[in-house]
Amino acid sequence: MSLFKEAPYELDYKVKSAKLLQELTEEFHYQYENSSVYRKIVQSDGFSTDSKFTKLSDLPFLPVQYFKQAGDQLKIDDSKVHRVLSSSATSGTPSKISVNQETAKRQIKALINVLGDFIGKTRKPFFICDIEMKLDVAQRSNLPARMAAMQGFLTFSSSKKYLLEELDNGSYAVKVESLKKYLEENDDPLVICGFTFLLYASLLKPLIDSGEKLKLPKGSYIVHIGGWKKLESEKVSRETLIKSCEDIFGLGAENIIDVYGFTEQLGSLYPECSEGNKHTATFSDVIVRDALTFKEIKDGETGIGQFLSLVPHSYPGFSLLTDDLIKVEGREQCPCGRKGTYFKILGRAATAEIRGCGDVIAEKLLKKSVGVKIKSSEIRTSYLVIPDHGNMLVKKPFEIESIEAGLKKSLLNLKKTKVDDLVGVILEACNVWDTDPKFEPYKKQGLGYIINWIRSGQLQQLLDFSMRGSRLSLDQFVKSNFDHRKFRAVGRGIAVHWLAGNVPTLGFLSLIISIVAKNANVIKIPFSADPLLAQMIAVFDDITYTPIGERAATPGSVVSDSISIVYVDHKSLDNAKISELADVRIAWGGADAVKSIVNLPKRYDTVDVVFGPKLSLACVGREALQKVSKARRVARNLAVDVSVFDQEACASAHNIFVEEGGEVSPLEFSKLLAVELEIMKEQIPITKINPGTLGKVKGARMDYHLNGEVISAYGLEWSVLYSESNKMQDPVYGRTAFVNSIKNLEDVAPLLSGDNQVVGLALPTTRKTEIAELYAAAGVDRITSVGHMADFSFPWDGIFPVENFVRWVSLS
Amino acid sequence: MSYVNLPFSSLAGPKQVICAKGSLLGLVGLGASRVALICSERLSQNETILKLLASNKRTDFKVFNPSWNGEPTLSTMKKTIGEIEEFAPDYIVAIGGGRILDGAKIVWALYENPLFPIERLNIAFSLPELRKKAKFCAVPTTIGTGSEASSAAVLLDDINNVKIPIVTHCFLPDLVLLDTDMISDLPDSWRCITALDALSHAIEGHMSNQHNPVVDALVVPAVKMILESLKEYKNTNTKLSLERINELALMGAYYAGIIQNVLIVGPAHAIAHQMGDNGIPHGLATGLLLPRVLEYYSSVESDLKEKLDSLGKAIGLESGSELISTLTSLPLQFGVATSFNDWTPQKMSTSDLAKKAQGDLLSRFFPIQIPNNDLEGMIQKVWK
Repeated sequence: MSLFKEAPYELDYKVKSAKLLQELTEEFHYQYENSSVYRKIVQSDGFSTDSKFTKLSDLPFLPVQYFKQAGDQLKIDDSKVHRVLSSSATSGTPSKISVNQETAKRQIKALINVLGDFIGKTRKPFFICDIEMKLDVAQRSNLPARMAAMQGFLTFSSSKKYLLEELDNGSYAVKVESLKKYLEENDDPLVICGFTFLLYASLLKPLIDSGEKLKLPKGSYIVHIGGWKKLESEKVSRETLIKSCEDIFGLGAENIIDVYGFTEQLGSLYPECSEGNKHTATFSDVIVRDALTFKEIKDGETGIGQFLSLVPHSYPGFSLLTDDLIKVEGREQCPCGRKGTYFKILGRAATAEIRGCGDVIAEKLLKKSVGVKIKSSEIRTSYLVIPDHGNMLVKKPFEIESIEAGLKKSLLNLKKTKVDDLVGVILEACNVWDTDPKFEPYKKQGLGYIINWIRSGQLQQLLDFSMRGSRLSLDQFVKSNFDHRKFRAVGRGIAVHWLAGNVPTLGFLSLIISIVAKNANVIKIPFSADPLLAQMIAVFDDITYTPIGERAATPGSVVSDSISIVYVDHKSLDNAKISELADVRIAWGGADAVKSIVNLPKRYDTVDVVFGPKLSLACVGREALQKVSKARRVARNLAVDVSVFDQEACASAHNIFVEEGGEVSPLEFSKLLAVELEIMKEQIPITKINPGTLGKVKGARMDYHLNGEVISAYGLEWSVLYSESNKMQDPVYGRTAFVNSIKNLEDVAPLLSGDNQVVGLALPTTRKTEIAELYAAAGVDRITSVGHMADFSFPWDGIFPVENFVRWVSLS
Repeated sequence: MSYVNLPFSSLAGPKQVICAKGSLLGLVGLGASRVALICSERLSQNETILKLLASNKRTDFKVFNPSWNGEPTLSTMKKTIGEIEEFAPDYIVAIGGGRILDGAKIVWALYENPLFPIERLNIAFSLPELRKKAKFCAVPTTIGTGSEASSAAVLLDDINNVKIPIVTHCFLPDLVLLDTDMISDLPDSWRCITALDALSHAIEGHMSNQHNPVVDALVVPAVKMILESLKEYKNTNTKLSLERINELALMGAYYAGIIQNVLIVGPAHAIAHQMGDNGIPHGLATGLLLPRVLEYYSSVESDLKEKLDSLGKAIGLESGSELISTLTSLPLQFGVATSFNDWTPQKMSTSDLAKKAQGDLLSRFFPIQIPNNDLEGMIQKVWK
């Protein structure tokens, strides 16, 4: 590893990258030969011993999540592990890396090279802003990365003192006296180091609050590491931190060093220079990639960072893809004088787990010292959303009583309006939603589908089905087809909708059904709801439906007047009041959300319509696999079911059970499905990237690298995860299809329950009916052919949806 | 009902047909909650009809006089559609000739599907299922309409002055009442004109390229009954009662309606559809064109001549040419026009008519390909 011998920031980029490529290629071959798990993973991406790399970005990479999933297996086979380092994590399993003597040596070399360049190689007294962790001998072989990082820093220490002390009650105290004492007695420069948030919260903040200054001797440094997320949530910027350090400790910005690094490449540090840039050393580099497609992104643009480092050798960590958002500022020479790639960290991909060690430690410590009692000032004020005709919303405080009175008044008009006229008004609204460019993002997230569904006449059909054959019964008494009785359906009154998510377009389906059933509606939106949602309702104010017959037109205000949009904080008492207002409560969302809604107080006769979390799956019979051409058609249809709505719909296929015994084996079928999903990527473009989902996809892939087969896109656009486990897997979304090989489709029935909404079947009719009977008894709501799973049909979730929005009156 | 487009002939018809004097009594048993009666102003004063409808205490009914006068168009039907939508019936009863029955069918379709895209109406079988809101009863008051047995309703496109057939089997009524009383005071000229239309349904259908074993069997009785009814109506020494004559006429016309619905009519209708609402009654147009079409068939194709001869013999004539002569002489006997000029001086371009007829949906069912010039020749013979 000749590059460790070089000064860290002296080589021209061209020279450095060529050497680095050569040494990393050797590392690739070493890992390929010596780590069987690594070999299996990269083989599934098409790499082999013959792989050649002409540039750094050609090298394969592993997502850092893989070390969470299987850190103990991602290592050199039979290597003598010196110690296992574990990261901190707010939830789930921590990352683990297996370090042997050689890697440990490289870690120290790298640390000395890099940190020495920033704080000098002379040893100094270290004041560590943390509690001292004492480990017994056994624990030393399984070291938290947090401690290992600190131990590395202490290589530069002449003495060490911990500034935090853990108290018996679980909280901690700051021992700033030891620092003061040192300063009274010495003029020699020192180093204060610690995790960013702890440094701020335990040392800096108390000093800021007390107004006390602690001037440090010239040549002293503050070195902090571990992430900014927590500090940013406290509204403390990088500039504020530096300014406070300058004021209190009398140091210049160049002596306050923010160091970036992560457990999976421990030892590779990227300190920030006085220009605000993080630096890669001769033995490391960074490539920026798109978070979804993994395509390389140009310097100057933001993407997730792939870090290359020669430090890891006992495990395949030389090329790792993080979730951190990076922008490469240059590759030649930073204005600070250092050569090589320099970059900025712009945060972590939104909704990715808090991962920085410092942030995690802060979370843990803060949980100990702060109670969970909610103060009334923390409850956001409830408000009524009044859409105006721009993109802004007017938010007004409201009284439940006035909302109720307004809605009841509007009901008089709504009830007088013919059901077909209401459908006509909704169709007019569809025309605006379809053509106004501002609704374009919604169209890609379900609205386009709803528009087409309404236009195709399906809404009237649903009404006819649900209303005992004639939607006319929503307007007047209609004679029964069976005897002389007449009956009529009357809207229940006020329907309250709890919409889920930021873009709850699917919730519009239940709203539309409620409108045509002649109910007034309260829509309770999430705090983060997009203003466009209210704009969709505002459209009704400006439209009129003119019937084909010569009679009065229907203004869209009949609908908009009967809708109130409200935000109510989930801790507010207004939730209960709104719930008690409802004649029908409609809950969309996950299990917890739906449970909390149905548990709100309600009137005894209130009807609940729950569109809760349901999962769907597909089953492919051996009859559909008798010919490759037939199997390909099934795969194409299934690719549609996996791709529409990016698998976010409850009717999307996640698990696919493929029966053995056909000409095409379940594994071969998985490969056909993969081909079709790649095609579908272009035909149904991905509309939404949820970083949390991307993380889950990476995790699932790692599981299947270990226990099955992974066939996937180069990026994270789709994954086919094949196994013979015969288990229903939890969905991870992001177009991830779990293909399970199964002996008989009859064996799927015991795996089903009322939580399963749709089963898409690829079977000939006779067997399809037999299997359908079996699955229906097991709890499934809807059985379709593959390719049609997401078609909104009825009954839905086991009910004809309009029925729950009306009560029936008979006249005999 | 099979919903598959099978390569076999099939027959769909009304749910119930009552053919008898006084069969209007069927209106008592509609089992409806609200009945909308669509009929002419004259019939809306008909006490029998009003009494029958009022006799059912469980039923509200209301009479609507069609807002269209002549061939129904979307703009002229708007008023009635609006009125029907307001009344919201669960049974529509249409009593009248072809224009009223066809118009009522379209009103019914749009009442059931007010949001159906109008531009798609001319696509056969594109209308959604009917009867979600109302059922339909047809009572013809002329001989020839065939509407009561038809899956089509003709709409006049008043911008292009072309008739558009709207086709769906849902149009076949729930109830057809063939009440001889309803045609007892039909004027002679209309008796003849509408009977000519019925004859052209039966004979053009018979000569088309379509076959249906059930419907083929109806051709001879249909032609025979209509011709007999006309003959006996004019026969001062007839032994048949007017009721029997009318029964023959109504049944023959109903059979002819079934024939045209299944076997599909030919050039006489294709040309008549292009004449829009120019004042020449549809029955007269098809009736005058029919003998010319048959002459043409006999002159160009021996198989067709033979087919026509067989039909002539089957109904008791010497030959096909005698049938042609009989058909040609009927307007004279009843004192109606023998050419279009006698009816209207306004002459349309015969070449345009021929060209448009060639493009009519019906041309697919012509037994042979007919050149434009020949079609024009037939038109010129009746529009001298």
